[in-house]
Amino acid sequence: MLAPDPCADQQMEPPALNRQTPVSTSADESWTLIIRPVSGWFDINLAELWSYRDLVTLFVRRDFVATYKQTILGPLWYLIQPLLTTLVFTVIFGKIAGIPTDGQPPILFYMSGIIAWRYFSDCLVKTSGIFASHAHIFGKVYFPRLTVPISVVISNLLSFAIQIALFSGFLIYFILAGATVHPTPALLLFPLLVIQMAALGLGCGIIASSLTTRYRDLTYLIGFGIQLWMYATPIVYPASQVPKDWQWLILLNPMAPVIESFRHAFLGTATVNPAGMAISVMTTIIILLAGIVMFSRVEKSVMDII
Amino acid sequence: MPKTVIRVENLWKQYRLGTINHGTLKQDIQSWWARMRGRYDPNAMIDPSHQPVDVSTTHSPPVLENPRLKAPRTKHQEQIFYALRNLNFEVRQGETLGIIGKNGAGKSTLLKILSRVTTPTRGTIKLNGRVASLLEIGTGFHPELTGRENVFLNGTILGMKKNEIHRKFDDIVHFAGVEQFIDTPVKRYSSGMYVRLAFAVAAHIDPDILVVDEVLAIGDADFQKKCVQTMQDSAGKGRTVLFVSHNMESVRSLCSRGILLERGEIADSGEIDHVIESYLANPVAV
Repeated sequence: MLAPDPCADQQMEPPALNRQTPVSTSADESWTLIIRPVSGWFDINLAELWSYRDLVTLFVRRDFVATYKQTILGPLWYLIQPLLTTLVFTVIFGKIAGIPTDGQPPILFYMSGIIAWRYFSDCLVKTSGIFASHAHIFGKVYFPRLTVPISVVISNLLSFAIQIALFSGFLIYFILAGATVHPTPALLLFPLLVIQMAALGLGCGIIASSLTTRYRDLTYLIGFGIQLWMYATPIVYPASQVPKDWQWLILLNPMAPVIESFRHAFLGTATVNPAGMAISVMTTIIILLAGIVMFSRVEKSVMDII
Repeated sequence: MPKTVIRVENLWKQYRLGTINHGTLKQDIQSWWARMRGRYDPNAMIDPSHQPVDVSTTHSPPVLENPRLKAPRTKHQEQIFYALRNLNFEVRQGETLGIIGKNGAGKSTLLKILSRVTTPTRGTIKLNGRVASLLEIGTGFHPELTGRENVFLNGTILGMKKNEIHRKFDDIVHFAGVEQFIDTPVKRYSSGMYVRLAFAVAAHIDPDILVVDEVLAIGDADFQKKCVQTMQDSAGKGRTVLFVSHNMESVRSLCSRGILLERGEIADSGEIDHVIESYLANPVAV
């Protein structure tokens, strides 16, 4: 705590307004809201956040609807993006560079990696910019700021679901055509994987958004940093191709076991290292908590800085 | 006696002048490193030989910083500006309080703190009842969304629940007079339609305490009259209204009491006519 109130000894008389009415100090006064200076290191009101759930759904709707307004293909873009990227990756990394795909059909291999990575990176990149993109709203109205990053994660989930449907279509086609892919019972844990990706993307994103209010440089770093991170994650190559000496790097990357588990669940061939997964989950929890704490510190004062 | 619904106690708001938030990590590290070695901060804006200055006060400001962080700065403390200094006032239920003052007197800062857009540096504001603050209308309107979608978005941003908006939806649309265009994206609206729809949402929040900025006084004469009428109605229904304005006519017609802010302090308060008089009696150019 700070030193005792230094202005206590010089507190001015309350001004003439209402001076005739003695300031009541009875304890039974109840206030519905008390506005005070920022204090404490964790100041998130979860009940309040819950009461603003309607706002989250409307933000989700806004993001989803506004993205493809006035486009001819509309939500079809959600399918075109991964399809084209898969095609390019198959040609460049599969045919030209000749990187092996653990014996899986290249299209399924790349598409699974791209879709999962894209969900994570979209969550991260879009939440990292929320103070900049919502400054005009944050400067005028109060509502729990955490509603915005949460809505970003949820609206990305919609596009992710569409893309997973596309991927499932391809998967079924390849199975019927006799490819050597076989979804494993780990598929039941798929929702948990999605939650982890969302939590990790949200955590990294709100840390970045909290820091970018002060350090604008981070905006640029995130732009290409996420590209570099993708190449550090087994998206265009299987983890089994990483040399023994470098396997520890994979352990440090919380996204690597997630992608590997994702492929294992759907395609049945990738390897999942339980220790790596445990570390990844721990890292995710730490990053998310750190993010929420930093966000709760910044959100109160951000309008004075930005 | 109506009960007190707003109590402002010892409210201070401090801003730092110059480059305290240096903006980049490199400069922050530079400043930190310089302080560590007891050198002058190369990024400090002010001459290090200056004494700590509070640019506009005669009171000694309260110590607001963590003393541990403060120690190395004694040689060249940054300039500090107090936008609000020790405000104390109360507002009772049903009162319409006008807040007047020159530019830079602290009106907007007070509104921002009341709206919870920013936090006070010291002191508290206690509120009783649902607060709606309108520093702007149409906050969060998205040009690509239809009028209908924007009513829901804007309404929830202002703190309404979805089913509450459902209930009031027809009233809102009727009030704005845009029935025909409600399913058209608002980017195609004329500016008048846009403002009317935005104001219609704001007028239907039904708060216990309404905090209004003068920027609401936009639009044509008819529309302004409608705004004033709506606020008067609000006050009539036992609502408490805080109104900030430079327009003495609208303050006089709306408010029963007033406070006059000057350099972040309450210079005068009381009956609105009296406060306006004392504001006009002291016309210092800013």
